[in-house]
Amino acid sequence: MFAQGFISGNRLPGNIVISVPGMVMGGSPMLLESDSIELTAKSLPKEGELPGFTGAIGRLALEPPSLETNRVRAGEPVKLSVTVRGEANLLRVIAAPPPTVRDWEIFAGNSNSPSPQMVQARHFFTFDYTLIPLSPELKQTPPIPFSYYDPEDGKYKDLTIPSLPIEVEAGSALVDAPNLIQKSSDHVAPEPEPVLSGLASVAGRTVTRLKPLQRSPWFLWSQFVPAFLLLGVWEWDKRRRYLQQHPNIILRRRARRALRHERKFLRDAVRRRDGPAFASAAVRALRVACAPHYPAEPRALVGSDVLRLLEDERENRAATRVVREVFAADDAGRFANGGEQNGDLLQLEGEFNTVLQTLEARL
Amino acid sequence: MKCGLLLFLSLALNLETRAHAETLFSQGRAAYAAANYQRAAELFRQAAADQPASGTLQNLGNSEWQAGHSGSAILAWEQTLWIDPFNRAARGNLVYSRRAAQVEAPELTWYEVVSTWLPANWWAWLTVLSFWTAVSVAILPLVFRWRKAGWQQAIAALCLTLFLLSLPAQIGINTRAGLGFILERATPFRLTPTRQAQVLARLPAGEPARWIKRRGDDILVRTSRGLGWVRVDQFGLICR
Repeated sequence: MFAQGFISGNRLPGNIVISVPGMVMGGSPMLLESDSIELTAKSLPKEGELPGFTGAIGRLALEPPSLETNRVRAGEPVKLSVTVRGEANLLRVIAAPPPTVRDWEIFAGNSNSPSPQMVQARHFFTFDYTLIPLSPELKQTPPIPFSYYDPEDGKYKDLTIPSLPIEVEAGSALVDAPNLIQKSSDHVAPEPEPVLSGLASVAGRTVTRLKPLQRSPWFLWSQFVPAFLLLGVWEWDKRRRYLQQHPNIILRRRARRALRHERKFLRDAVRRRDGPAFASAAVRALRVACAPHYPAEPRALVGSDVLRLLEDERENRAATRVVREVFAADDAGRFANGGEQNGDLLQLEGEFNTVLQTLEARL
Repeated sequence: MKCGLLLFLSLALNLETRAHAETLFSQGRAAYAAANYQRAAELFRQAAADQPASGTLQNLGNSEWQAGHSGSAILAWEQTLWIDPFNRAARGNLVYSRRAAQVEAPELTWYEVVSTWLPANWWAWLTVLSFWTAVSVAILPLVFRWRKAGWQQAIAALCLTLFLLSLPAQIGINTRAGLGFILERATPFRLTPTRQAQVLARLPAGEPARWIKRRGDDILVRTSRGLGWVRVDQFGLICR
């Protein structure tokens, strides 16, 4: 026993089961199941394919079709029966699709299909069409394209269902023939078969990698950046409003910064043994340290203003003396000829630093 | 200074990679025109490895199809659509190839279908930008004590709407990232990840499957036939 066949696809998974029809001598019908074998499935050729081909393969013949009646009114249906005989797998024969014809509405009806075993035994298969003539001027039914593939000849064979004469009378019922005709002519053309496209001429849209961004760790972690930015903006605004309500904080901060600056000048003056420069820097430092307490511009402060802040330090008379001497030396250096003796003033450096530290501690 | 140097070096490297990918792309087209499909597929594959691009992957799919590797071709076209869902050629090729190879398209849930409307990375940026814009427009006026305006609320509402609408797509992207295709024809679909495992079925090339987990050289996948194991080299993920 051997098997041969043509199929339209090339996918043959699993075992092949061949059922033996009828009786086998000496026994009852049996089912043979073969081991897996490799089959080569040839594709049907595309060249020479005829209209109305629905996959029928084998040797088929068409019996003369028959109309239910050859006298009908316009708008009334009439059944067309078509019988196909042949040596093919008739179970796979599908009726040809109804064509789109002006003045006709055609529907594929239910096939007159007995059991598959009967079909295979009788070697013929019948299917029906329902035809509705839309115009009383029609004289014959439209031909219905049908074809099959003969594997022995290797060709497609035409099996078009021929036209049959028919007499159409004007219908008594109102038939919206123009609308039906319009619908027939507006029938949507069948979707074109997809084909393989050509090559793309450019690389097109690119990505760094196919993995989605949502699965990239850096993308997820980067979402903290705007969160921190917003949080930073909020904190900055909160701080700004606080400082607006407490301006003395800024004044004191500026004073501390300016005091550090003036200390540099003091150290330079001591290093150079420059008394007048020391006096000048000392006075500026005292003014800067006291300005936030008033508040006032540092340049506007005088010695008494500084001493007023040191009133709590009454027991520290040295601090008062140092402040008076420094202011006096600075005034002398600016307004009088000659000046304070440099050596005496520079000896006050230690005590002056103590006073400055006291004032700085209050900032 | 160091940051600037690093940035310059990375830009230079990026440009060189792009130029190399373009060279391979041109060579691949020439090989395809000469009907040397195997060579064309190799060149396009290298170009896609350097710089994944929709046109490169589309051409890779065409080359693989012409060379008879339907599974690899379907995977390449699906990757094309992953990058560029508007690529009609790749979409048409998938319809054509699935009809020819008689394989089904992967079944997608509704949120996965939504995720196919835009490129995968667009959804990520849309979600992030809309969210932070909505938050910023809502918070900053409070912080700076600006006068409330209708346009601020409109922008916040619009961005919040975009954010909420993009969430299903994010889920779809995440689940679709586990989608892949069988690369070889008649791939054994095994019950267990062992050599002597029972073969449940033979999967055709191009059959869609979802990655569940990996064990050594075997992957547990879910197909329309159920759960089973295939070898890692017989399965291709869309976004590997």
